[in-house]
Parts: sequence; structure tokens; C-alpha cells
Amino acid sequence: MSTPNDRRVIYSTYIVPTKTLEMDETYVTQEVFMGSPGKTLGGRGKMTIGAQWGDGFTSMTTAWEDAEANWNVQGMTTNGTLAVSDTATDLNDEGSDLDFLYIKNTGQTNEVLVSLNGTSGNYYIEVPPEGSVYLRGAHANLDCNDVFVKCNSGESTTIEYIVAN
Amino acid sequence: MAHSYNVKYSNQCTPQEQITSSGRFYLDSDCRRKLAGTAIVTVAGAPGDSDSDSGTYSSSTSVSTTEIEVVTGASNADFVFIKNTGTDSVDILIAFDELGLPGGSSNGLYYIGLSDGEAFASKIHDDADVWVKTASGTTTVETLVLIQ
Repeated sequence: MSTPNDRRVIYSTYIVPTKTLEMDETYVTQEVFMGSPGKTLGGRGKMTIGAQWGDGFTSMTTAWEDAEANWNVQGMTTNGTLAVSDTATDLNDEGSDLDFLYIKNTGQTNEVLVSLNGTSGNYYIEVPPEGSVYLRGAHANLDCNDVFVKCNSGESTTIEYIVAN
Repeated sequence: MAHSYNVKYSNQCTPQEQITSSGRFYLDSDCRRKLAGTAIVTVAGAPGDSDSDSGTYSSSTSVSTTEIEVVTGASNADFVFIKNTGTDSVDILIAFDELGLPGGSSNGLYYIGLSDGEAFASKIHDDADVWVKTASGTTTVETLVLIQ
């Protein structure tokens, strides 16, 4: 792992809420903005994440040395992605405060569910196939190792991620 | 005539690293690329829509240290967008549950932060309650909540 002087991440969100109008001829459709908000929405920001706790801060590195200490509950990344099943998987065993989280569902079929409060926590964030989510950590009780992922029963997918402190 | 409603959303980030103090930032050598994902969520309707009124949109809601509920679990919301539209460097905090999180606080734990201009957009579980507040001061948020 290189040891840069500093690290930062620039992030943005863009959403397009639409209504598809079906005309008298059902094969003719017209896509328009939802009347409310009637436009696209978005936001962006930038934050310093500094030197990281280890290779395992991103799935893009092969984090065997970080995974080793917690191998039975923590996934191994290969080719920049982590395989996710219906068994909850901890993204890492780093106990410091989480500053930035990014998860992309690189699968084509199934959703990935994300918990911010441990394996038995509430999986309130859902990431559809090819979708992604990011967030800035804002609470001392949200540690890097509090982020768990899983799929619905009987499903599997792959993800790529950044978990930065 | 049946109409359909979708929200297409994209979350992207660019990790960068600085090799030497005061030097320029380059694409992070561990991640090696910009990261982005885009998905489409089909929902039941649009806020105030004459054909299918569903969900809520607010272009500006004042938020203070007293929490406000953006999404109630009973509403079965499936998509939420929250943007800090303030300009006074007041961060907002977001929680997904009022009860049941570690600590058992009646105000939940506010895990997510948004500074001025930043936004959070995600498909969410239909049981989620979404609350926002500030740590200190007052700001405004733009919110869009959609239901499948």
C-alpha cells in the first residue's frame, strides 16, 4: 500500500424523478419530470479522509492481512469486489470512527442490504443492482466495523466499497 | 391510460491522494478510478400528482436541534433524498430509526452527516423512519420521499 501524505474524496448525488406517460397507443410513451419537484435534484461535497487504517479501506486492494484477524465473519475481496450472500458480512474489523462510506452493488440481479449498526442491526439501506450509496459518518458510535452487508434470503451479489476513517 | 413513475439516481465519488505536502491531488492509487453507480427505482406515484398522488417533496424545510421526521415507517417509503440547502456551515444529521438503535435513545443515533450543499439519496427499507436535526444552529433541507 502506498502511504500518501493525505487523502480526500469528492462525492456527488444526482437524481431524476420522472413520470412516463402512456398515450392512447400503448406503445407510445413520453417521459416527463414528476410535477413535483419538476426538476432534477442533486448535491455534492468534498472531505479529507487522511491516511487510512490499512489496505482494507477499499475493496480495490486485496486485504488479506486485514481480513485475517476476523476471517470467520469478514469477506475476502477478489478482483476489487466482495461476494455477498444472505449471511451478514462485516466489511472490516477496524474499530475507529467511520468518516466516509461508499458501496456499489456490482451485481446484475439482486439487491444488497446495508446495516450501520452491526450484524443484527437494521438493514435500512438498500442498494439495487448497479446502484450505489455513499454517506459521511457523523457519530462516534458509527465505527468502520459497524458496517455489515447481506442479501435477501437465497440471493447473492458482489459489491465494491470504500470504508474510510 | 396507465402511467409509471421512476426515480433514476446516481451516487458517485472520486477518491484522491496527495503524495507530498502542499502537492496536488491525484486519483487514489489504491482505488485507481472514479466510482459511480446508477439505479432506477419504480415508485407508485409522484407528490401531488393528479393521476397518482404519492410521496412528499419539500424544497425547503427549516431544521434545528429539535429533530423532525422526514419519513415515517408507517408510510412504507422506499426512496429518500435529503439535501442540506443551508449556507451557514451548519451540518445536518440523519437517523434511520427513532428507537432500537444501540444506546436506546428515543432520538435514535444520527449516523449520517451532511454539510452545506451535500445530499444523501438511497433506496431504503420500507420500515425505516428517517429523522433529521442539526448538532447546533438552524439550517434548511430539501427532501423527496417516494413510495413503491
